[in-house]
Amino acid sequence: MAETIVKIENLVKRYKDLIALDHLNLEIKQGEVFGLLGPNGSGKSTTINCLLSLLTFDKGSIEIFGKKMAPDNYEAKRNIGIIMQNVAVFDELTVIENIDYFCGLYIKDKSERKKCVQDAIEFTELQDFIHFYPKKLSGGLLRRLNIACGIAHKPKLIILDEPTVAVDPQSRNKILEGIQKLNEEGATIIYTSHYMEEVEQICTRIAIMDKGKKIAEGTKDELKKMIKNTETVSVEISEIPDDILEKLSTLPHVYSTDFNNGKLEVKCSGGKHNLIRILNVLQESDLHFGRVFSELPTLNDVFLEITGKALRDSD
Amino acid sequence: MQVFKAFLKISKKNIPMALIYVGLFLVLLAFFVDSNAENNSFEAERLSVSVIDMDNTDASRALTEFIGQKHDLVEIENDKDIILDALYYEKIDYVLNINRGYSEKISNGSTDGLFTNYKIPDSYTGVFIDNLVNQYVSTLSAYLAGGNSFDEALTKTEDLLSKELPVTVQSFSHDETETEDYSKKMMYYFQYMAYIIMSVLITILSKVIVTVNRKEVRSRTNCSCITVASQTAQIILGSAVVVAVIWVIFILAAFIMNGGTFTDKCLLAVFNSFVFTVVSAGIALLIAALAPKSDSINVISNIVALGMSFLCGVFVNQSLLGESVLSAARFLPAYWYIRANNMLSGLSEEVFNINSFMSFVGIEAIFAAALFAIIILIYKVKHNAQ
Repeated sequence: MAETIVKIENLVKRYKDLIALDHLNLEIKQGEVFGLLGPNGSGKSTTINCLLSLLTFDKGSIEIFGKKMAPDNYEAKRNIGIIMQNVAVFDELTVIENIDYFCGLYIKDKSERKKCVQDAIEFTELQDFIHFYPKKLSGGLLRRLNIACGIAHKPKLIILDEPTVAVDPQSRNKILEGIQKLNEEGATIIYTSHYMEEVEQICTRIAIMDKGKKIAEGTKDELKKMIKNTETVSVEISEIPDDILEKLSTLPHVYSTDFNNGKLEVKCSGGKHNLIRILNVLQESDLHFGRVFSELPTLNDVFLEITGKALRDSD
Repeated sequence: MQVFKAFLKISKKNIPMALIYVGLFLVLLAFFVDSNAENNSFEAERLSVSVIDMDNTDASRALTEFIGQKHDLVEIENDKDIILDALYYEKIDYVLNINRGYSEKISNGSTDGLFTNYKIPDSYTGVFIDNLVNQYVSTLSAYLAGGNSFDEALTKTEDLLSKELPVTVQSFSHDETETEDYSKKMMYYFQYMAYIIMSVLITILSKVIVTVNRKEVRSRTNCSCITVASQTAQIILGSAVVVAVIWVIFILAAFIMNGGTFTDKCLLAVFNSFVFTVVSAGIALLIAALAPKSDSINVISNIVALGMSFLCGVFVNQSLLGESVLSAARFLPAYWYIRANNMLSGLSEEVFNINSFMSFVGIEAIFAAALFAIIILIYKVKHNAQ
């Protein structure tokens, strides 16, 4: 069984009357890409800050690498890499100077550091920009520099707090690929985001948070199994009579039908051939329809079903 | 020493901005030293004089020519209104009307009614030309009375009054202030140094502190293996090195300007500047602790450095400042720095006294201590708030 890298028990953090973290429990194993998913203000960053001892907390305990985490637990800190939501680099230093500076906070030996810096530059593909100042870099390159500064010392645990905010799709994919590569090289990853697609794409296990509480945890398949919905069929159609809509709702496994703005949405729970049965009803009724989509449930559906609101609506 | 090295690297990046202040300092210094420099040369002023010769004789023409040698002759119409207008608009300084019968009267030894004149009442230009004409007439009369012929008397008068004696001006003011070991140049150097040291330190030190204390960077550093105590110690060391280097550069420049020597009062001025540099470092650190953004520091630097310099007598002598301004300035460290500097140079009424001098410097040191105490308090409050 994989070693536990992070263990959070009954963590409570209050800001006066606001409860930012409400008895949070998490256990992250070695080699995982653990996703913390939740809307803005759900407590993801507060969890990370408590984890890193940047914030004190009111109750509970945090263990990293089997030892209690505290501001002076430098042994644990040595093996943690942090990539913040906001780019944390010096505008006055070049790309290579920045990476060297942050790597130097962990590695004293000059030759070892030089190699680590070089590896980080290659990993983030910043070779052509090493003498550039951060202000001269594009948003995507800046994010890559931010990552390089966080991973140059080759940490065993890498915490990424919304690293893709305001990043173009191409750079976002590069960042996500990089994270997976780091994981393949042996690093345990904690990844916070409010983008469910990213979390679905890279995380092996996910905890969904809302209002400081963990509302669900598991692999993406486990999470999707927690909810009723197994398939959503969407059909573009100009008009649909009420009796047909009624007929659709009586089909086996269908538990919800909705028609809005020329789009018919039928939600199914379990069963096979749901799409064929729905289309048959429409054809028998001589209704003309446009594009048809059959979607498996997303983490947004999970969040929606548990909290009654969509992830994006909560932002 | 990673934080320390980065501190110095970032400090270096702010040098170009600091150089602008140094350039400004040198211009200011050159301007003030030059405008206050002793003028040892003397040259008589040439006025615009109109002579209306009603006598039109050799004697009257000789007088006109004599005046023309000393001043600029301006032709003017013999019309009272025109003359008064010209005087009013300062086109001319004096109008001398040589009355008819001048030559005859002077040959007979009479000096009454020789001239009528127009001049600006109570003006020094009027007195100046009056004296010149009186001197001429007196000399000419004396030669004539001595038995010289008219032509001889005219020639001798002209020769005598044309002689120019070498004039050397020792000093127009404060000649008692300059001492061999503390020249005026040094006095102004150390006076304006108050402004420049504040500007440069705020520009460099405040910016670097704000940069290394930026929330995101600080968080990342706090997550690393480096202890908070080590971080703080390295930042303090970096600040001390930056302050020391800047002060040494200015003192070295003063040393070179002073001909490679510092003695007595100059050494006291150096000591005074050192204490004030520590105060300025305190001001810079306080601004860094309070400044919201690095971008706002240049504006704050100008407000603080210029404001304090004007209030405390860096640009304008303290003796010229109003009592209310000086009362307010007493609560600012630059006031005591300038007062100590003025005492060294003798620019103020205060006679140099080492005890008084040290008490002024001591007050500066108290300001420094107070500033550092406030800075520590602010960081403690910030730390607790986090």
